[in-house]
Amino acid sequence: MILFLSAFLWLAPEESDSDFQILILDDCKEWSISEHPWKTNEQGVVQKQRFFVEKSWTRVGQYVRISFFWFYPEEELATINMTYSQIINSNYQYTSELSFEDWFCLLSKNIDTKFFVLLPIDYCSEKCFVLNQEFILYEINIRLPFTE
Amino acid sequence: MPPPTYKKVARFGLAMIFGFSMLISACIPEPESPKIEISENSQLMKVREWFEENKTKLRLPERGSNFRTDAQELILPFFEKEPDWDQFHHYYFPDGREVFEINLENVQTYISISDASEDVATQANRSIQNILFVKHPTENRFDPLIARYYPNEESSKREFKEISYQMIDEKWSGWIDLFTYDEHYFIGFQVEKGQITHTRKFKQEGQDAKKAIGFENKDVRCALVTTDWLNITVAGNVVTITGLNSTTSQSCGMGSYDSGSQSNGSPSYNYGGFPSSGVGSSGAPSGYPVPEDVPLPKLTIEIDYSITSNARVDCIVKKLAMSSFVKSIAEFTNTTEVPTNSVLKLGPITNATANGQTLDMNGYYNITLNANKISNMKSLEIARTILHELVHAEIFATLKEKGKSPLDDNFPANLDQYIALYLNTDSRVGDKHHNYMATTLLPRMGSELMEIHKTQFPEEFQRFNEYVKGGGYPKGLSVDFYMNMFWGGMEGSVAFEQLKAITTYSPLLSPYDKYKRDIELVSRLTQNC
Repeated sequence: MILFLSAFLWLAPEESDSDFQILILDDCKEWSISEHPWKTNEQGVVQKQRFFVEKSWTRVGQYVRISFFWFYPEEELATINMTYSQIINSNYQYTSELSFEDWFCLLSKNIDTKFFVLLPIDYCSEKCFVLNQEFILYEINIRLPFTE
Repeated sequence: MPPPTYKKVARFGLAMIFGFSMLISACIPEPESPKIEISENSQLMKVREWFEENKTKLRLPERGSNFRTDAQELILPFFEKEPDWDQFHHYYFPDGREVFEINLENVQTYISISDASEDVATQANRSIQNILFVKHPTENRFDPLIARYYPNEESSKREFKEISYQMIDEKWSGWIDLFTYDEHYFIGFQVEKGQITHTRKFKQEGQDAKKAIGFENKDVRCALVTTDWLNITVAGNVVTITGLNSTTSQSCGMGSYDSGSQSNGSPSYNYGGFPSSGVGSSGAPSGYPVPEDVPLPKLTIEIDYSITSNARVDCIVKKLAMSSFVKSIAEFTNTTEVPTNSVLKLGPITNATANGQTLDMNGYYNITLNANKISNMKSLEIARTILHELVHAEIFATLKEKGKSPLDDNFPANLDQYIALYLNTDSRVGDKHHNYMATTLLPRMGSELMEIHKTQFPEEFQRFNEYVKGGGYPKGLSVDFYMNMFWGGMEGSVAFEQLKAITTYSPLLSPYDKYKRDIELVSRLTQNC
């Protein structure tokens, strides 16, 4: 029994609130998604659809790009399933509340944090009204513009 | 609440099984790299055709022995040179001239022996001789030169692909000697761990040798060295060594070379040590095609203490200082004793989200890297940012002097062109620079960053070159990747918006798709400095 418990603790995921943050893309119309045209990777291996989601502000050059993208299967980013009640009981943030500058703060304060997103296509759909509906959350990278 | 288990391992296994079953049928051809290779090969074909047509004319007529004795110059016996067209480097000099450097497959070479303690066959075995075809900027011809690389020791022995006139790694030590096609000696450079430390010019040894080379100039950084020349011929396992002339050379530390030999007192080699037309009077016979002069760097940049006290940025700046591209536009100095017109420092900048900025303060160029962002940037990104800011400073300085830049032979006309193109589109100075960079300088900047990656970060380059084969560059890194790195710093410019607006039909990637992909690739670079 002790061995079993030890093994369970060893193998259990060690995510905590500080390890990940969920971003709910609730300002649905502001985000545009572009799926990577290649459903295989460059070596021809079929893999999960990779995509970019982008939001721009009125000033040219101000945008945030979220990427669900990798090159080799072993780098594949994670997805997780959570109900809405699970999401709002975790470490989450609505993106409508973030200004362009806030994104830089978000990144600089959470260098080692994994970010997961709830996409507009799910959040702004009828799924939100279904009891215990599970949503797919995508692990993503955040890319911000840099001027030089 | 923690998220459920990721299940990555199981998914990875399934993906692999499914992936292998689809491997044969699901490949999508990569559209970009072969185009570049084809383009390079077709240019090489033009060089080859030109060489075949002109090679007999490149050898000057036989001259009497008096010419050699009187001139006191070193002219080695001529032999026909056959380039191995399968092995070539393609690059650009900082003044924009295109160069093809091709390996010579001859079994015959010359070596200079100043250290008799080592076996000459061993020394000959590790030397490399290449032929450089420098495209003339206006005429339809190439200027051929022979470059001979003489490593000091076995650890500096390189394969052809590992060394070129514009790709000397930081571990290489030895001499590089340049000859005209018909074996007139031009100039030599001593390299110590990637840095040029001395230059030399040979004169044939004779009674008046000292007088002939002007050693009485008494520059303490110069020394008189006697050297024996040998002709090494390899046929199978048989090595034939023929003794040639003994020569004397004035070997000088950098900064003191033979300026008295020029009528105008200016140095007799130009950027990167490439022989200029000024050498013609003593190095090459009159009328021999030699590359033209390029302007000296306009920027003298003080490297601020904030940079030298940051080990990582200091390391990157030192690597950049070795780049021929940087040398063409800027000189770095750590002291305040020499007059400078620019400073490179680390600190806060006006736009907190920018990586760097360059301010023109009435002809003094203040280049600042954002101290808050540098620590999270990859080494090559920092190198890119510095290069980008240097180009801003160079544009400012060129505009101020209304002159020519080694970056762009046609600066005034191109400047007018981009102003006309983007007239009334925006008014910010930075964006005007960015539009000009994007329309005129981007391929050059990309090519130079690639060269810096290759020569100054060789281990990362090799590893990354393999990595990108699964990331959109099946034949390895190309200049497109480095150009996309530079596009990053130009976001917000009209030129970038134009690039973004280009669309393609799936499965072709648009330029913006490729840009996004390459920015993801950049995140796989390392902080190796």
